[in-house]
Amino acid sequence: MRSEPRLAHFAVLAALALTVLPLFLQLPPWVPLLFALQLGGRAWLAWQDRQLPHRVWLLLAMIVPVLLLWLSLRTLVGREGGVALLLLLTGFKAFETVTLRDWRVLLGLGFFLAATPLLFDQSLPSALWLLLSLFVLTWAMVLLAGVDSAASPRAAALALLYAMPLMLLLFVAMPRLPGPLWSMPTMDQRATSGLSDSLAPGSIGQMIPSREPAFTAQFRGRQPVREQLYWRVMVFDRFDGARWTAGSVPDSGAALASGAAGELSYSITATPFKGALPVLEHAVWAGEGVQQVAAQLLRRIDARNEARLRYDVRSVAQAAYPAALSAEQRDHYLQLPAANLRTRQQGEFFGRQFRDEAGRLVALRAWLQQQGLRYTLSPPLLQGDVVDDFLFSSRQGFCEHFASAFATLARAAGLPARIVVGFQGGEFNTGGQFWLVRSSDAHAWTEVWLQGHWQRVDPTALVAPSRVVSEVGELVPEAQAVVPVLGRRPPAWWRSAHAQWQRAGFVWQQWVVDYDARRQQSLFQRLGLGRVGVGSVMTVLLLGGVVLVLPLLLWLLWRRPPPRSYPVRGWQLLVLRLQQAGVAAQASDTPAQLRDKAKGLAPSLQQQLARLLADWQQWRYAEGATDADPRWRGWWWQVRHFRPPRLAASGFSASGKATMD
Amino acid sequence: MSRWRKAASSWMLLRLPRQQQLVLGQSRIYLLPTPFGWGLLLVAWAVWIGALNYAVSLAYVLSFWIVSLVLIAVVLAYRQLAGLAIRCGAADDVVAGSHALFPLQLQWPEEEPRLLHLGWHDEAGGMALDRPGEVLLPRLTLQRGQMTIPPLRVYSESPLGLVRAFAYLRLQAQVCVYPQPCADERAAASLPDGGQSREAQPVPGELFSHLVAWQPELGARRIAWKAYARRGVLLARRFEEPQAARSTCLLEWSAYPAQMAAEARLSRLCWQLLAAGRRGEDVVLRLPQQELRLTAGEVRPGLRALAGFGVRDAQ
Repeated sequence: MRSEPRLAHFAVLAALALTVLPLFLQLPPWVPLLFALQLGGRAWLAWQDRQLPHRVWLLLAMIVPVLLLWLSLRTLVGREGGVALLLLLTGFKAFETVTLRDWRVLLGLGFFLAATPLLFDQSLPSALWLLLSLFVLTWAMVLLAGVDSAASPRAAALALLYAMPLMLLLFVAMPRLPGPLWSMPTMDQRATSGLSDSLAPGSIGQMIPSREPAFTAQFRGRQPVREQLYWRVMVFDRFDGARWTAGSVPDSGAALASGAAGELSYSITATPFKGALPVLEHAVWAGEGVQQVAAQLLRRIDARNEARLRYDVRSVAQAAYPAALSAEQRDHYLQLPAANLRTRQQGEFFGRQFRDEAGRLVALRAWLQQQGLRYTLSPPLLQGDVVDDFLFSSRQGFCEHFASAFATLARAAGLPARIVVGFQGGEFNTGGQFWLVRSSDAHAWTEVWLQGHWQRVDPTALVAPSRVVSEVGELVPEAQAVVPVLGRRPPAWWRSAHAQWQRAGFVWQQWVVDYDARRQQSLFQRLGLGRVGVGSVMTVLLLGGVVLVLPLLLWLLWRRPPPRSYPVRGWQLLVLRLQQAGVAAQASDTPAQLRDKAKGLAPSLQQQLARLLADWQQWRYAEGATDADPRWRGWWWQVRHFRPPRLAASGFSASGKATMD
Repeated sequence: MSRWRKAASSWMLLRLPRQQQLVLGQSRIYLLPTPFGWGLLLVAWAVWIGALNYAVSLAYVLSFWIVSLVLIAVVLAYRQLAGLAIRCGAADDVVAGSHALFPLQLQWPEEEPRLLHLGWHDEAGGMALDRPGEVLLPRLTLQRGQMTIPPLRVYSESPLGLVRAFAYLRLQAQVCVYPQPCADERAAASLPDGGQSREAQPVPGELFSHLVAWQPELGARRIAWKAYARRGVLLARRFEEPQAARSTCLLEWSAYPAQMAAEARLSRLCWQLLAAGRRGEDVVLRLPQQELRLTAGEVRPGLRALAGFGVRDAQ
């Protein structure tokens, strides 16, 4: 039986719609919505067997959405613009598909569209979605080829399955490019989880309730303790009274020498935050693709590339690092605007009181601790001089308020100071042996220059020590893990399932999404194949082909399905079952003979057997009986479930006793 | 089809041996991507370029999966044809200008779902088949004579439509094509009853006459079972009709004007022969160098003689 072509046409339209569904999250929603409406309209025309609109009308109708697209995105190329335009054009293409060839062109476009959601998201769920899209597209392809509709899902699934080993082989072996062919797409500016390039009250606070993963780190050998995990990303040294930004004075901090004791070696997978990458304080060595820059920061070598990156670093976890400060730099780090008078007066008081700089710092810390500050994620809105208002009036805030206040105090007291923004802590995934750092771990702290060293001072830890030693969720209810919808604290099983899911995501990220030129190189080297080149790629393809693909091909070429039909197979199985039960049945017996031989079985089993045999007899010898009768399948299943227990025949019981003794 | 392709395919076809029956194997099956297959490879290439540029690993997965699908489609399409057994049964005789129906039997294991198209090598498309069995494939006959079955093409794009597996077959089967009848207004000459040219001969008829020794070619229906039961000897019943009641029709090659072309003569003779057959007359057919005596209604040998006159083979 061949499938009706119209079913195939609906399948193509459905596959297209399904494929682009994730784009609802990425594009202006009206674009996918219009696409879905276009497909729906085409399906309706097919359903009603109506004439398609004339091409002239299509061209005219196309102008409006394309114009709208231009107005809303200001571009028709690049990632968003290109994908949206492609979507609209495909939607109009659907209205001029008539012949089989047209439908196949449309389906081919569907395969291309399946790649577009991947440009935005490569997580595990989107991979699963890709799998689903591929299946539905292939199913539509099978239907277009005229395969029977009942057999088509299986045929599609099998084709994809057969193609999988070769795909995996190509995925591993095909060489990757270390850089892009042309300019990389501009990343979207929405960045819910990114750090901003300045620090003002509220800029980190808005990140903390988000449990979005920010980056992962995997340590080799020595594992760090939680208090050591200060992930440095950005340094702000210019203050305008309310907002901290990065100044232009270069930092001439000497890089730490490698080889010190207690070095931590780890690799991080992260998306650059405005070009800066997280690194544990303080890095002593940076691997390929990244470089250490001023102020102990880490940047990507191709700084404009905003794509996710995996890099190796070595750090010595310590709170200070040596740096020389010129007079000019010292002045820069002491600059304060005219605002926040009370805070400055307080700082200057300490500057006068304590000649010794170290003593002054201790006094400042002690003073801050005594102010009765409270750690909260929803502090009252600060007015006017924000630092004064925070320190002397509201006294409620979180890391950025503390850091900003302490840096202002220290500068007023004559100690060069600046603010470091990054992350603190993380969640250790025991299954995957990696640290997952979330947006909610975003943190800001202060660095004070003292006796030739930049010394870390975390004012938050002074006020709320638990922020550093435990998860932020313990302190701030907003950042707690909750069960969706129910909104309660998750039970243990949910948390462990969640950890497993994170682990899967991490492995996925590491082995699939981050499988780039460098990773391929290291895999080839681990396999002893040397550099990725024509020779080694050929070796992998050939060897892999012999091991993975060739057996499949041979099996496909020589496999023949079981030639016996259901009645024959069922009969043989029935005889086998009876033999296993100790009945002396033969395949050549007639049904009546079998019934007689099975007299020793339990009555219910005998009845069951009699019914099976009666059916067999009736269907096998009925007028116009064929082996293709659909009832045989059910009969065969019944035979499969017919399992008479072993008969306690005399011979068997005797031998049983013998072995028992 | 371009001229070169035509030349290449006809050269290829000539190399094929004619076979009574054949089972398709790897030496006979050709595999080529369809335009859709090429198109999908193009899509895979485009996705690959995108993956290369944007460093999207999953797009590599998609691209390679498409490529693998096209490659696997080669094997799957091959499986559609491999092991297919084809033979051609005996075709009924036809009149030139009508369609000869070639009964083609295709066999493959019932359990394997297949979707094949069977057609002539020089015609697009063909009959779709999704289960083993016999199909009647019509072919227009142009000339009288012996028509050998033209080369066949069997192809399948199932299950993905990405790769086409096809095979050309030259089978051993022939069909006899009679001349196209052309109405002949002249009354056919008849031989005088009991003429000098022949003895009064009994003619097979419907009335039982006597028993003769049975021979296999007489068929089982003619066996006189009662006589067998009595005597233990196989005898055949012989039916005869008194011959006197019927006339004999004489059809002669030379009865037509000398300038008439051979085909025109044959067409008219054919028309006359068929008409005589319908009337149930005996016929004497005189062709150059041969003469046939046909008893009532049995005009087929005559038609075959007309079909085969002067030619041995016609395509």
